[in-house]
Amino acid sequence: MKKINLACIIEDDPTHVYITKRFLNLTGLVESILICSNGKDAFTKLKAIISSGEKLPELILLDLNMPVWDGWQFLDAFKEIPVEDKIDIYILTSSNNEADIERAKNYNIDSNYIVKPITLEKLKDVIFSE
Amino acid sequence: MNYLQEELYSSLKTNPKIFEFIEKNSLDGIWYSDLENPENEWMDDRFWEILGYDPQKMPSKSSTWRDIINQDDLKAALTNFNQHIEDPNIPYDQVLRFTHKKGRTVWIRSKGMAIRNEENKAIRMVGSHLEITELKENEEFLHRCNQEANIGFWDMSVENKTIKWSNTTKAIHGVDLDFKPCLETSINFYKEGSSRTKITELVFRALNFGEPFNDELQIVTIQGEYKWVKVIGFPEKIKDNYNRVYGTIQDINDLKKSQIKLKQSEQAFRGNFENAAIGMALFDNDKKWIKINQTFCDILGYTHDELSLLSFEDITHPEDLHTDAAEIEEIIDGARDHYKVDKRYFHKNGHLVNIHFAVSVVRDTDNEVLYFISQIIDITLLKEQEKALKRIISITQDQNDRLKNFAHIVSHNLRSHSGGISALLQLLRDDEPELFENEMIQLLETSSFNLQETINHLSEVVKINLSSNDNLTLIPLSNIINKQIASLTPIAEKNNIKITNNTEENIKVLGISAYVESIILNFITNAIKYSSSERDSFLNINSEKKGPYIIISFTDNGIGIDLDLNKNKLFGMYKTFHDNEDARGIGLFITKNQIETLGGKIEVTSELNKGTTFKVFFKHEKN
Repeated sequence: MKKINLACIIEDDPTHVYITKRFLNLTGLVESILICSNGKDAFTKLKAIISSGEKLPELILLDLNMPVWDGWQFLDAFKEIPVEDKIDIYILTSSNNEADIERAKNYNIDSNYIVKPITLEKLKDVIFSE
Repeated sequence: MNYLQEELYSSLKTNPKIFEFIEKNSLDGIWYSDLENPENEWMDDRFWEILGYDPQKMPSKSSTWRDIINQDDLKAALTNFNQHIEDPNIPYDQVLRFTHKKGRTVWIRSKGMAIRNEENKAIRMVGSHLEITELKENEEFLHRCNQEANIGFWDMSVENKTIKWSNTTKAIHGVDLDFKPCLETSINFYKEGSSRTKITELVFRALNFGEPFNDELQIVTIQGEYKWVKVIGFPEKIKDNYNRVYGTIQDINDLKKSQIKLKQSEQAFRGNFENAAIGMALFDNDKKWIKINQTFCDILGYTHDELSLLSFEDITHPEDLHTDAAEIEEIIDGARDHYKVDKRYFHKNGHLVNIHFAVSVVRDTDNEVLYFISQIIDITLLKEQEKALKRIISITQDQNDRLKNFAHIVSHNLRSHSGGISALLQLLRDDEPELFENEMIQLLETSSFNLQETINHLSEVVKINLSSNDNLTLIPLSNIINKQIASLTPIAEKNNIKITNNTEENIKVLGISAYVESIILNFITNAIKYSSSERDSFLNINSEKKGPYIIISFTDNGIGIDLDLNKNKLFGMYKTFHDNEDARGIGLFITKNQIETLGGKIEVTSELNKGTTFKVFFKHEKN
């Protein structure tokens, strides 16, 4: 079992932020959590981490439907930044739309597709699989 | 004897000039032969000139003409000569063919008279030649013409009770050349009925009133073949009475037959043209009307006379006037024979009429355009319907898209929120378990659970309608049914229901296996849920092939459905009609949607407290 120093939740809905945060804490495996309210906010914060030379989050839970930048826009921008560390990105969404799952394949993360609401069991699976 | 005749006769004896004049001007040759020395024969100059020879170079020998006379004619002449020598009452009179020096045939009528001595022995013979080449050639020509035109001669004499037929006449009647026609029976060659009545009347009128005739009648040949002939007859008056009728008969069968055919097809065309359900018009190279039928007039609201005065320019929408100019040009050039085009015409009332215009051409034997045949159909209604239909399709498409989008958003957003609520409740239960003793919180939890289930159903429905049916495959049914029965056996046993799969082992249906499984599961579950507790329950599953469908029927003896009351809401979303605690009413709705997505349909018969049969129609082959 592996400890996660920093997990990142990119989510605009405070309810889901709260739930996900609670579940992450309940696993007892996560040290600290970075919360971003949308794709753009996340991109800015992660970029700042990189430029200050600090450690990036090991796990990102990404919502798709968000204001400003949605999840796809975040993915498009983030993949342009060269990152040496291994980061696991999970799409955490209420959409079970086939088109979205298809689209996730383009980012090679279609297996990392979790339909909301997330459960504690599911979250543990995610962390243990690392 | 007349004194002039007497004087001429004596002058002839004394004055050789008179003889020479007669010889030169009235005859084409004189010959005089010595029958005691037959090789000696004198011919005058004219004799040789007619045959193209120089008289000075021709000796007075009979051998001189033996090589230039037709040998058959010579034979006939010799026979006639011998007869005449035997019997002076038989005249010597022959038509002889000589070969002119330049090669052509010269026809000569040769007459001769033997001069006899006291013992009545023929010792000399005097003869004359008359050239009849032109006459003969004309005769020959006429004969050839008649033969070519299949014209035969006939000649009947009432007085002698005889009728003569020429060879061609015999050929026309199909009889042999040695056939002897007879006056009474020859009329029987005419076809019974109008032809025989007519010829009898014509001959009667010719004989009684001297009326010549010329008519086309039908005969029956000796072989029984019907034949059209043209018969011409001329009566001849002999001593106050018309006792002789002669004339021609011509075989016009082929001509007449094609005339009749032409007439029939003309009649058919005219009938077609005048009574056509579509508008028809004939027009010429300059687009001038030749003929317009009533329907054409009706389509445009004009009378025939009114429309005749108008031109294509008057009735055609200006933009459509020349849309077929290229096609017309190509027809005139012979590159095509027909075309079709849609045009707009003006109705007499001013409104536009949409016309489907088809044109074909009729050409003469030189392939030049005689006239055009046009056909028009009023397609205004069709066009309008087409437009309306397109509009409806576009609206429907639009609404369908919006509906899909709406359903998607609803299911998506609701899922997010209801997921949040249930997760929060779960966390709350961990944090504050004592709160869940409160009935309101309990009810909140139930509501949250129901909400989530509803949303799951909703997204399932949305998913079905979004699936395309391109990826249907053949699915073996019997196995799937057995599998579903097996998975439900514990509940079935609990409910005391016996499930039998009687479907044919090898049947396959077109479908998506998840749907087919879900459909079958739903019907079996339904039968279990709604089985009657008052009797031993059963569910029989049967299969049947019918046209493009394989029908799977689920027959139970359960509590049944009051179809009179519930028919309309049976397959509706969230319609329940049982007070069964599990009844959620979504199952049949989803099932029906799935079946329809697979191109099938569903039928139900039911009787309250007796049982229900659901028939599911699956397609089993593409298209």
